[in-house]
Amino acid sequence: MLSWTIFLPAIGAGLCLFAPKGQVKRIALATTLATFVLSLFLLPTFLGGVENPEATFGTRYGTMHFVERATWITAESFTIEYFVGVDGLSFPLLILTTLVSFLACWASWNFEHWKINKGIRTYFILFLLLETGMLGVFAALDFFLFYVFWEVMLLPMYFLIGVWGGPRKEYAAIKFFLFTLAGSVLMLVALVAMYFQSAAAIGAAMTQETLRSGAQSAGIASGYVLGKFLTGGTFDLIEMATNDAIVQHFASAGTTFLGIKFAPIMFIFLFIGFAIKLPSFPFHTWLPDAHVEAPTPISMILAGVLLKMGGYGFLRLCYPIFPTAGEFWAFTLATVGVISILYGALCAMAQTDFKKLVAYSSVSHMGYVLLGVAIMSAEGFQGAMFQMLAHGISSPMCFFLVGVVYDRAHHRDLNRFGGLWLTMPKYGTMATIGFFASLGLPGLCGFIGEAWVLIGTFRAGARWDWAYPMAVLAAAGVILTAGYILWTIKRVYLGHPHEDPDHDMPEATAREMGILAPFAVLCIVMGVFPSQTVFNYCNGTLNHILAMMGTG
Amino acid sequence: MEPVLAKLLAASLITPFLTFWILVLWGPKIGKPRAGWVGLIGGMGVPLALSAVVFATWFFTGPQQRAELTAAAQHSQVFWAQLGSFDVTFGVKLDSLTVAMHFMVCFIAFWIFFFSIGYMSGHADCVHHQSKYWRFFAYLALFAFSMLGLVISPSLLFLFIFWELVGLCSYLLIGFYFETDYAPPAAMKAFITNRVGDFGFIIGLGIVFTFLGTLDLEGAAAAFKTQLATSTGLFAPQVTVPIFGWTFSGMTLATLMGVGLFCGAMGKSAQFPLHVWLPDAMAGPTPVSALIHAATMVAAGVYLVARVFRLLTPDAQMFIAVIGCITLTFMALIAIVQTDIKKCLAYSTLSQLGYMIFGMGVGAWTAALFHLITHAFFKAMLFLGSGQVIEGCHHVQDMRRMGGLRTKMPVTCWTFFVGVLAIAGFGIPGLHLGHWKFGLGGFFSKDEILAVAYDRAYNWGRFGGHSDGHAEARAKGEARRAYTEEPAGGGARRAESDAGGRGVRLAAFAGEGAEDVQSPAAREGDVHGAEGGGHHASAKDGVASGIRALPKWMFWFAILTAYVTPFYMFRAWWLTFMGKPRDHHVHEHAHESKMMTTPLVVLAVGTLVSSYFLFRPMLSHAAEAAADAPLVVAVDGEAREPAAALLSLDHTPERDPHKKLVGLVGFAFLIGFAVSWAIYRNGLDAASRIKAIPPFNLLHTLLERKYYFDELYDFLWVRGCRAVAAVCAFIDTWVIDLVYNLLSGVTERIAAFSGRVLDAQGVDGFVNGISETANDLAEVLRKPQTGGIRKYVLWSVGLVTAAIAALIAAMRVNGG
Repeated sequence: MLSWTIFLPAIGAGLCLFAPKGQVKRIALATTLATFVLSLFLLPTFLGGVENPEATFGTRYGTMHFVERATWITAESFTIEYFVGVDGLSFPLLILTTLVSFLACWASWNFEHWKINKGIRTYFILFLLLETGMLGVFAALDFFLFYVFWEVMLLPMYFLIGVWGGPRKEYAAIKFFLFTLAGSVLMLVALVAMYFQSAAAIGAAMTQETLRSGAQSAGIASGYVLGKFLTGGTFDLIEMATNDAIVQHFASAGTTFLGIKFAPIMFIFLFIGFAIKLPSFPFHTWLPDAHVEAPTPISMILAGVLLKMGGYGFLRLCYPIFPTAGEFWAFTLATVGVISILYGALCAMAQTDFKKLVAYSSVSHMGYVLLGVAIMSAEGFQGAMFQMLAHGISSPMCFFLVGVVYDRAHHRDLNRFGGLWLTMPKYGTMATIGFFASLGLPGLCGFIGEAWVLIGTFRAGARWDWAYPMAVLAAAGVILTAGYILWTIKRVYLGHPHEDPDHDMPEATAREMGILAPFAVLCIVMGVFPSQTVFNYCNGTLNHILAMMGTG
Repeated sequence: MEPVLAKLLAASLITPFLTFWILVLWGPKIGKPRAGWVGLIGGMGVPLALSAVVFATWFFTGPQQRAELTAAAQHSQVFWAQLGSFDVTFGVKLDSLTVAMHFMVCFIAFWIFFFSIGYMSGHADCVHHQSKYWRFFAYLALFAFSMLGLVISPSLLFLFIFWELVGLCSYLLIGFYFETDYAPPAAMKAFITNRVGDFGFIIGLGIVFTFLGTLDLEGAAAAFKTQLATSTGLFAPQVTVPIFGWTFSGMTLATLMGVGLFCGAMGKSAQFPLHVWLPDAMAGPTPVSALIHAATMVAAGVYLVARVFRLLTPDAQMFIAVIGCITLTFMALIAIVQTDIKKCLAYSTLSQLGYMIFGMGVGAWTAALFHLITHAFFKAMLFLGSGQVIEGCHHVQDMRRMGGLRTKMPVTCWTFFVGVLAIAGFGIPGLHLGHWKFGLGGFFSKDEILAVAYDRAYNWGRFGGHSDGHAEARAKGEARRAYTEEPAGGGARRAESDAGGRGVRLAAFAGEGAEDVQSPAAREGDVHGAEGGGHHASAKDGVASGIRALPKWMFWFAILTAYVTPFYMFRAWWLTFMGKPRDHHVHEHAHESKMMTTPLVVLAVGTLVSSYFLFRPMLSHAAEAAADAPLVVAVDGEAREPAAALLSLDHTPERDPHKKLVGLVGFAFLIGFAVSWAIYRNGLDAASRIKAIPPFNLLHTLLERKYYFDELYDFLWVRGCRAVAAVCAFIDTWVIDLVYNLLSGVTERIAAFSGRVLDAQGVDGFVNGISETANDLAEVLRKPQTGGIRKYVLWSVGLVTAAIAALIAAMRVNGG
């Protein structure tokens, strides 16, 4: 079932190859909708988590559902598996992905009216491949498979920006590609290093086993040889986190990489890879360019799903596998998180391009995710997870809101708008919900994540005294956020309508409202019922990760 | 016990919420007059009915049962979400304060909704072919939901949530005329200023959760008390918070917590220096000014302070008093020079809110809340009166163009007069019939605040307080003396066992108790106290002992303002209703309508009975809970305690501060009336002559420009923030990105150089694969991708190599 969900979009892409041109977008929309519906089959398992947490989340990290496991590539000692599964960490993000993909696909419905309206078939094929890549990343539990999906997702995105983007699309696409690639190369280094070290760990464990079973000296020697050179390592992300031999070996001060302690360096390699994706300061500069140039639906995907891979990566790879390194880097990460929050908000304030403003607001919002994971506490992890999902709803909504006015006005200059609430009242109401959700208004989805992270950061002060000033600084972010968002609302939606005879601003169409409405509903529902929408499904797994770090 | 009352209060949130959505979704279809009635009945009618039932039941419920009901409500909260391992619950805080506030909000809001139907019928009909009428009532319903939620919230987190929601409603309603130039900036200013306060609120919340381990109001208060009594947690002597070498103790942290929470109140209740948004908020329709920006929402700050009163430290409380004192004085002065009738009332509101906050700061818990309620009645009425005037004069708000409206609007004129008398503190001292004292709302409530302030400033030494916080030994002795010297307090029977404990608290928390906590003397005292008292000193015994006397200037500022208030209020009344019409066009068309005068009369009657019998006993009862405050002065209901007796209304005759106050301000309203009559009875001529006299002209300009706060903030915050933002954007493009682009350029050079080598190495295969795809896209792909991909690969290899090298170097340095 899980594999079907992952590859359904790819199958849809295959269908698109043969379908008549006029049918392509229908097929694509149907595929994304079907994928969304299919992904809902994961839901009952996690709904059960409320009554019976043990059954859903198990007693320790690594309890997976819908596991599908098969040997994929074997060569000598290498075994790469097709290993996918779902737990509380990936489940909400999978649903988010299928939902945002569906809505973004629907947002592409007016493809014929785009400035670059050629290659509709290719567009939707790439779009669907992208969805498969994204779902794969969230479902993969084999590091190598994870890496493959990570790269699979990269290329379609590159083309989607580079072909159907705005005036500076080549620059933006290349920039996006290079940044992500740089991160994935670091990840590749970590992948290989972790593989070999896990091999060493397993080998050493085997040697110990041999010793304990009282083998002869020859046996010890051969066992050592076996352990060091012949035993395969593992790419299994769960095993790396739960196999005591590997965990201890990774954390051991004796394990090194190029003369550096293994855990911290691997942690930071992976971290940078994911921080680029998140994106956090100072790796964020690809984001505004990519967003500004990307077509609206692609921005929605980019903001709604791709950025979440960074946060997901922290929680899936960095912290469970290198729990000790988290402590080592906590200060640095939290600092970067706080800088992202404030710097992103300030940069957003200075923008005159509507879309760029929303892009920078993403930097600011994802800063909370980084801060939340960095403090390694239950509040922080819950807040980070919620913030990812909340941002996954509010920011595609904001990008779509920008797209709607862009379709009408053909520009995004904040200073040339005004009074849209008068001319487009329904749209204006939606915009109010979307932007206030982004602002972090209680009752809407943006608040919970921020509040949890901030409160958690204060509480982390008990462990690290630097957490208090961090919390205060991060809390100052709420003022800046209110500043730039309200200023935007004022400039675009309030005041007199700008009389521009060339571009009248008709009310949002039914399709546009149809896309905005689910987002708006989710903004409210998530804000009012955080447990029922998010926490119930992910807290169990998050607590297991925290337990491994000893900071539950 | 079945928590029916709590359920009724919770149910009062439902209909406003549903009404909001009904109006949002089908507002335009419901149509013009009907949307208003839907808003009135669903938004406030049903909650008022429920509230009345609760109020009446509660009123006739005995103290014992009340306590049981409170406990039952506390225990029947429902789970909302997990915060870490803490369960955030939602429920109803059922106590006298909630019941009183809830009823006050419902009652006043109901009549304001009613008024709005009349007021909005002529307003905002069609802008750009759309009626905004339904919107107004949708927002009002949302406000009703949020405000009632705020009142019943049992936890600080929910208080904060509804706090922000009322802020949203305020934003939406100030910006109701969003097609204008003036409303959107005012709305934005209100929200952002409030957010500045909320920044402090969040810090306070963070400290509460970190150290007290809960967000529940009751739980936090209990934890605070326990930690104080047992010297653990926040008050553990060793709990110091070193931040980058800067160390401060738990006591300072507790003060910061209180100040942080109070910052939220400063935002919402528009206290100096966050007062700037409230006058601008008058951009909203007048009923909104009455409801949100006079009677209910702005008072939420006072309500918050009342709720967290038990978490305050003496320093935090002193901070509150200072802020309140500054606000009440300086805002009242501005009101003198206002010519816009709503602005005049707005500054008056600021000043009165200052009184309430000041009251909280001096420990006049009951009095401050009582003033909140009486003020809500008369200020709502005054605002509605001004709304009737504005509506009747076709949107003229300038009092200079009014005058003589009494003939055209008699009901408005005389209800307004009642409001003016109430705010001026009209009453006939000494004249009373049993418990029925003769006076209007403000006479009682303001007087109570002043009485407490007086005792804090002048009688303090007699009640266990002391002005020198550093002399521990002296303080200790004084406390003992205070206890034995004050038999009237009735505490003597406990003095023997408690004196030691009192001394300990006194020593430990005198003045800047922060240092004292750790001083050996204090710890020694603790030992003695434990021995002498035979039991561990309970926190309650320490009531008032650590609190310093009120600086006398603060009391005198409050007295001065009691003279300024009647003056500016009567001035407004003279200018609007009396004298000769100054603008005949305005005067001729002036009229009043039934729909709007009815609420005026209802609220005037409410002001007349001064809510003395309904609300005052409830608040006294509520004060019992607040009197549990371990560190700050508590209120009546604790009359047996000397320090608390000080703050009670039931002063013993020989030291009744009210008697002093009668002499000081008892006839202030007469003086205000007389002076304003002298100057304004014939219009503005006399005033403009006075204005021209040298010292007054400068003063007038200063006041007219509101002490230049807007200009200062605009320069400091708005421009400052934008400048910093511009710098950040510049850095982003010209520093960070430049580095990346340079890197890219360098790699490109290397790529060009070594391209052939790599081409041969199988990159071609990859590249060709890509370029085949690219060929399919040939129509739209303009640049050849082959060169690009090669560049990327090289670029990333270069970048990664550099990054790894840098990291290794960095970690070697760190010794990792």
